[in-house]
This record gives sequence, structure tokens and C-alpha cells, in this order.
Amino acid sequence: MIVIVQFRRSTGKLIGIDRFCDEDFWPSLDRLAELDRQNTEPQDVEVVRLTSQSEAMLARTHGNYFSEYAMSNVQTEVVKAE
Amino acid sequence: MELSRARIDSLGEAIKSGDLNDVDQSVFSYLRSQWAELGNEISNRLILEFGNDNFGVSLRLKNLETIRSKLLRTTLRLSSLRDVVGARIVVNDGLILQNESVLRSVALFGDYAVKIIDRREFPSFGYRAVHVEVRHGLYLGEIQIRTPLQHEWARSMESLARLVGRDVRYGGEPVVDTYSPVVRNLLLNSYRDLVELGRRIELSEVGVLNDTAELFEGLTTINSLVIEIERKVR
Repeated sequence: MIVIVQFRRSTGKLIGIDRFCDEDFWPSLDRLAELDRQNTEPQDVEVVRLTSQSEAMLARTHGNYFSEYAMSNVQTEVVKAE
Repeated sequence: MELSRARIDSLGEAIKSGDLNDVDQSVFSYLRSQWAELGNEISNRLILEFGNDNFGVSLRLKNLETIRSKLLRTTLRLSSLRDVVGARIVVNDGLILQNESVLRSVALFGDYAVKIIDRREFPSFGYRAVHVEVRHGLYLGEIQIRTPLQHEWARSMESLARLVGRDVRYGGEPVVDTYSPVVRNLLLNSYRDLVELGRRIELSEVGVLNDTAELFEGLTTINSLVIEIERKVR
């Protein structure tokens, strides 16, 4: 899977996450470019494209983006959407 | 699009200046697609090779700003940045397994130009791991191979750097002026503890000390403290 995270360094939290399947290689690059262009706080907001077998695997190798704390805003947004 | 090393490096200069014209933008887009394709190849091979080993395996593609920061922080040229495409393997045991995984990675990319950078022998401001550089034509990638302790240490330093400034990762002093005296002390002590834990991890991994559980506990404590401070001050 491919994941693009937007991570705010000053709070240690994600402010956005996009998930893609492996076949969405090109759309994920387009999205990365779009997020890069839209990013008005590049010193504070990291935009990172990650690839792995699963999100659990990404939590293991890039735990700072996928800890419960880092994902708390994103999870809240999911709950709100429901 | 035909690219040369000189064209990539002139793009690097434009990225450093923050002044990318339309042509630079399209060259960067193309270059990023080439990096991503290299990353895809590296990732697929690593997952095939290590997918059944219960290791953590992933790939990260740097974005424009992180590339810019690195170019500004170092004397490297864009064509020689090896970690724009950065794979990471976290093995599930110590140095022997790490060494085996390095050899397997090198063999896996036998058709590429490969170089081993041993940051256990030459740590980078306390950061220890083994990196395997993979070159395919003009494009470079990197595979970071870490033991669990090396990985947790790097993760703790990354976390702490969010609060005390990212420069600590490159030898800078922690910046704590804006915090209350209590928080300032907690952060400075955590930084010192982390440096000390790094030294002990090295001794532990070569078998001089036998305190793995205690080291993990120390790193976990620092991570928890960082989160607690972030909750309170952010």
C-alpha cells in the first residue's frame, strides 16, 4: 500500500492521511505534488509518501507518524465523518 | 526527458534558492517520478526478500521541502542525495541478523552499483545503523538497516527533536529557551539520557553490557515524556 501523510512537526500530529493501493502509483505521485504545492507551512508540515505491505508495518518502521498520539486528529476526523 | 547530472544539480541550486521556474518544476516532477520508480523497484525487491522474516520493511520518498532542507544543511548536490528514496528495514534481533540482512540486501541489488555505509563504525551524531546505497544510472536510493534498539533510539531522537529543534540530530545544541524551567530541565535531562542510552546500546549490542530490556525501557520513557510535554505545551 501507499500512504501520504501530512505531519505537523510542532504538534507531533498528522493533519491528513491519504491511502492508495499499490496500483495507484501515479495518482499517489500526483497527490504528493498537489500537497507539496498547497503546503503553505513547509517548515512545519512534512508531506511524506510511504510504501509498505500494510499500515501496521509502517507503524513499525515510521512509528512517529502512526502512534496513537500522532493519529489522534486524523482519527477524530474519521469519527466526525461517520 | 533526457537528464544529466549537471541538469539535476542545477535544479538542486534552484531548489535551494526557493525559486523554481516552470521548467524547473517540470524537471522536478520528472525527476520525482524517476525516484519513485526506483523506490518502487527497491521496495518490491525488499518485500519479496524479507517479507517472510517478520521484519519491518517500508519506503519513504522525500518531498520538495525536505530535499531543500538537506541541500541547505549540507554541501551535497542534488544528484548525490542518496536518501530521497529511502527504504528502511528494522530487523527483529541484534547485530548478527543486521549483518546478514546487509549482505542479503547487497546481493539483492547485484545488478546495481552498491555501497555499504556502516554508521555503527562511524555514527552520525549518535545515530547508528547500516545504510546500503543503491545506484541505478543517475538515480540513487538508500536502504537503512536497523536493529530494534538502533531504530528505537533514532525514533526517540526524532521525537525529542520536535521539541528541542531538529538540529540536535546533526550535532546542534537543544533549544529550550521558550519552555518553563521545569519543562526545560526535563527536556535537557532527556537529551542527555538519550545520548547516554546511545552509548550503552552500542556496548550492549556488542555484548559488553546485557541490559537490553532496560535500554528499551529508557527509550520508551523518553518517548512517553515527549508526548506528555507535547500534550501540555502545544
